[in-house]
Amino acid sequence: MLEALSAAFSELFSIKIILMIIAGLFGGLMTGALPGLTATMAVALLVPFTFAMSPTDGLILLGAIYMACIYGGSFSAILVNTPGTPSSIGTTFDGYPMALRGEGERAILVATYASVYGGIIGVIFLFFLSPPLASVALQFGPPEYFWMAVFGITIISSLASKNIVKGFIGGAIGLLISTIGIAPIGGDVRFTAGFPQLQGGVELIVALIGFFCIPEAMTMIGQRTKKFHLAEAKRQPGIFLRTLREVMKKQGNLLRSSIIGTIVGILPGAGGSVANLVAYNEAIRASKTPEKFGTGYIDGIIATESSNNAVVGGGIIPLVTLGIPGAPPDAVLYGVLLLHGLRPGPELFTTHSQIIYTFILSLFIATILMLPVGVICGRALHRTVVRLPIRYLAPLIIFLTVIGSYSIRNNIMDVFIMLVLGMLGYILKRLGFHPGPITLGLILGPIGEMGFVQALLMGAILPNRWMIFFDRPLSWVLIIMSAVSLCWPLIAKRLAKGWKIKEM
Amino acid sequence: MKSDRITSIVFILVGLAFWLQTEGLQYNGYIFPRFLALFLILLSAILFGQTFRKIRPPQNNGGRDDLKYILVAIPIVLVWIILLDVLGFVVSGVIFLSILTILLDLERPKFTRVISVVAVYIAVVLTFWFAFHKLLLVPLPPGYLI
Repeated sequence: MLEALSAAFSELFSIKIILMIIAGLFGGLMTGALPGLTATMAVALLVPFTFAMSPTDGLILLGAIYMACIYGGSFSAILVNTPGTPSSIGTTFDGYPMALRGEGERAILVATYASVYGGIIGVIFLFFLSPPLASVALQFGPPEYFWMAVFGITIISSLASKNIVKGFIGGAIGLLISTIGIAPIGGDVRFTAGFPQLQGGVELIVALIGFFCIPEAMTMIGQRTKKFHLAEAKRQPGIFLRTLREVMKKQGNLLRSSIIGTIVGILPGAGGSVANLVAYNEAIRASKTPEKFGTGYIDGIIATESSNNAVVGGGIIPLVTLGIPGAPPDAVLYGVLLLHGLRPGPELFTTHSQIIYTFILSLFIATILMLPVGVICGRALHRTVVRLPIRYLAPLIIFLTVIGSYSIRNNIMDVFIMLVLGMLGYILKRLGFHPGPITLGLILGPIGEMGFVQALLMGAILPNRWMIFFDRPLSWVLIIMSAVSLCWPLIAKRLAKGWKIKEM
Repeated sequence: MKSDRITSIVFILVGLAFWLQTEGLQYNGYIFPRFLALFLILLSAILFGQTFRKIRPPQNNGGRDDLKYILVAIPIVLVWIILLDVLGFVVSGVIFLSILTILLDLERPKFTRVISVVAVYIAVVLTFWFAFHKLLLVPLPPGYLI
């Protein structure tokens, strides 16, 4: 191992590799910041460029792109209330209110520091704890995936604190939309209203763009007579170090969210889209000032951004140890490994240890370099967006939504679906339904349905097939977590009352 | 509140529509959506009940939007999406972006201002077209033009 490590170090510290990482970071940041272009797409698009490279160089470039893309999603989440990737949904909740207050630059810096922190924690877990963590992920069967989806849905009680019923209705709408198309088991065609284009279902990214971007662009258009710019840019001298100190004081939130990100990343099929919302929920529950979340509070950004970048390291753990991709971009990395003649699995650490250690160390370096590259790009983007008049910004947002929704499947129908969902999202927003729970339902729907139906099939051997959901200890852990999460607003109120009485 | 009452009735109907659509599906295909439809109907009924309570949950009305401009912008976007496959990404993009920007301009459009807007968008759209179509090989909507 030591021999492979020293070889990896000597290979990494060359001008060519560092430049390649920086190029990957720039590319990843720009792709991540564009709504609709996900980390999976960015990594997949760049695969042909790696054909002519050595396996190590190819993995280093794609790793840097992957890491930066997840972080880049926070830029558009903060500046235009549109998550660049599904991993940044939670960042909109506090990032955008900060941008509207003229604190967009501070929000971007918080996202940068938290992303770097989360990325490093994820890579540390990847380096030291790969085999034991991967074996824990294997304990998850269909009933556990179903309960994990239920646990995810209970997050709505924290997300929609203003009106929990409306939050859960939004979640149910999202879950129902996710069932449109061919059933995952059995192959029935459902709820397509006769449109063959809907058989493939509603693409998550298309729905995400629709529910977040279009209502925002419509609001800008609707308020055009009141505002010339989206927000005012305040000059804040010394913001770089001051924000760093502020973020570093939140060690509990940073560490908790990074660990959540790593664990969710390890679970196949979950990924950053789930991790950022789970971490946000846990940050609210652990906070003594939960009422500040959603109003432009840095703890919210810290939770989502540290967790989604920790997913990168976490997702690679089952990939390199078991040959199972943890998150969708890892599936593309799986393909890249195969293309270069490397079989993902336990033997990677024995037969190709130098390549794997070089890749892991390059991820670490990419995460560190993300700090200067991210700060430069983030500040430049912030200045551009706040200086751009709304009459240009709103059409450009719509323009980007069209590119994003079309390029997922090269289907014009997806653009129509995006617009329809966008109009629905705008109406629902006006009626007090937040897009967060709807998209959460969309993300968790396929995970929940697959787990639910597969578990019922597994349960056929039991006297009562429904007992499969309560048959395993890990299921009970998730059931208890879901119950606590669901009742948390009530528990928190009781606790707060108790604290107040004690203080008196 | 009246809007919540109407919304809850609409969602109950949506839930029922989803439930009815599951008729004829296999057990594995309908069991999960039926649960969800039931869940939606139940929650909507609770929301309906809430509208009769004296203490109402806080409403999120946000700022007032000028619907007139939104109602003009939506058909423009719709026409643009339809024309994407006819005129192509570049031509339709420049036309649409220019129209929407001129619509949102607070000042009366002057000829020089219109020309500058169109020039800006030709540069922007061509940059995106080059980056996506030529550099990254991402397919963009083709048309009879570019």
